[in-house]
Amino acid sequence: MNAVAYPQHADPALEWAGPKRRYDLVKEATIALVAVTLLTVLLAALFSSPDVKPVTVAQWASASPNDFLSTAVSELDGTSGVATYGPPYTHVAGAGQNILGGVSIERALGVQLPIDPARAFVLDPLSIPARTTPLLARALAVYEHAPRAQQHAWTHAFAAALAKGNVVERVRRQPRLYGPLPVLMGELLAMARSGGLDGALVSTDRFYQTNFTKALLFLSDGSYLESLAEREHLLGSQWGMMNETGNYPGQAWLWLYTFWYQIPPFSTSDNADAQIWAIMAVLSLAFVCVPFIPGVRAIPRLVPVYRLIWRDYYRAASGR
Amino acid sequence: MSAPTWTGRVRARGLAAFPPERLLPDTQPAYVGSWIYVFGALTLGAFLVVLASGAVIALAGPAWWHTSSAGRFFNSIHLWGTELFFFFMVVHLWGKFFMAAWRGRRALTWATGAVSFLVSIATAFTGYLTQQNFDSQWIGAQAKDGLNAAGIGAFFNVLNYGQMLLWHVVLLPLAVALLIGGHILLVRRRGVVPPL
Amino acid sequence: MTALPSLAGLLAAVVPLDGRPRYVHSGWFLISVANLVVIVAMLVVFALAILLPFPRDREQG
Repeated sequence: MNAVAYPQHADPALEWAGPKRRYDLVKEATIALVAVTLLTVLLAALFSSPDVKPVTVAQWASASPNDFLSTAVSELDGTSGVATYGPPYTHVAGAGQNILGGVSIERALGVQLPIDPARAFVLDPLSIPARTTPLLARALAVYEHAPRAQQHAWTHAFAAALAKGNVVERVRRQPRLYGPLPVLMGELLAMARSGGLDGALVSTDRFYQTNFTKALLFLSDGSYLESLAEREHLLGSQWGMMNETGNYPGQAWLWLYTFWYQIPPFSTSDNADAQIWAIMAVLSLAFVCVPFIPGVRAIPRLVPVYRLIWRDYYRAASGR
Repeated sequence: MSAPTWTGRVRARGLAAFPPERLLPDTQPAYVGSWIYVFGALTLGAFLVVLASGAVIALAGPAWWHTSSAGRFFNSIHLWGTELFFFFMVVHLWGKFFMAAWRGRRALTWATGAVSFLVSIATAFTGYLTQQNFDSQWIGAQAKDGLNAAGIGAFFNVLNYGQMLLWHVVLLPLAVALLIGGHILLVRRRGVVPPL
Repeated sequence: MTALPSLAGLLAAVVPLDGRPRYVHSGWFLISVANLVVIVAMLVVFALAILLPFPRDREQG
């Protein structure tokens, strides 16, 4: 840099009137593109990418039949995650997370993706094999025509037997306690293990399918998916939002979003999702509006990294 | 003289805002002398690599990379390109923050950059959702709670694969491209911010 | 066509990152080694970008 006097503290709103240097924009852009392409190809060749196979309902039913059956029973008796979720899936008075006090956008917007858990996850899928299995058809009819209280009695008894761990023995000893539940659950388990339930949960009355809402909601109502996620450090309480399976880098840019879930009060709050979304919305707006926020916009002057970046300019401007 | 045409008006305004020497300069202020200045170009380069690798994957469809080692390789380029995209973008952001690069009517340059960052996060998110593997299942199952709590879960349904794929391949990359394009035009319009 | 199997072999990962994930854990702070490497690399690259001398303009010398 020559000793031509540099305008000191030039008005940034005006076009630069001081000395210039050569600059080849097209060459710089080309070199940047080639360099990044080579670096990316190198990383791809060295490390490849993760591809952990997705979990199927068949896998879940085979690996964890007790958990599968407990989930299915909870869908029937309205105690499952989806059944008690509230909006946007089910009508549950008072359900839905609050941002502050009683303010809930979730509740205000109501049920937009209605799901009847008992029908969607158990009764409708079972109606398929019921067409060719008279025993199942009879069991379905008995269940669907029974009063609500009777249905609850059967599902509670079956859930309790599952929890005790010897459901087959208990059903054999006191079959009347469980009504049609053993047949329904036995057929559902068989259907799941065969892969038929995976298909039934995705299919609709149309040929082509691209929506996996029902299947994924059913899977996430159980504990199997979560147990696999915990092994990979993907749970919310494990900073999971930032992480990837195996030893691959994940989404480090989500550090601030996942951070809030680790600290009180959010780590124990039922409304953590709504509250943290609100916080991140405000912080994102603040990020966009940094130029207008006093204090924050003064940090560059207070932490003078700029003195390093423009050190040559300052040297030339002071005539040294 | 007849009234000016719309085309004539657009051309005149375009040329006034972006005369060729400003759009494609071959000089720059002498104070632009630090390696920190190359990170914008590196971010753009990474974005183009991500777009190109995504286009290759699109040629054979979203299931290709699960069954083909060539497909897996292009998926890897797409993933590492994304990691580099965020890497370079954040270093670029740190540099621009410490230069207080919003000075001199450059607040919109800062804002378009910040919004690009946020929309890029959404784009990457939909990419993770549409991998069709365990990661996608878990991310969808978790993310639905946050989006539902914010009231948008039913309209932006992370468990609806078809919807998420189209957002990822069409809508969000278009938004990012428009934002980056606007951001770059603003840099050319106002010039590189002078020292503090 | 005979080149394809060896190409497929080349395209497999040289350094597979699958396998038991490694984490740094201290109280409520938990980060994967991979993410930590990425973040540290960003800080190092930022510092280098600011500190390394930039080529002078040859014409103004």
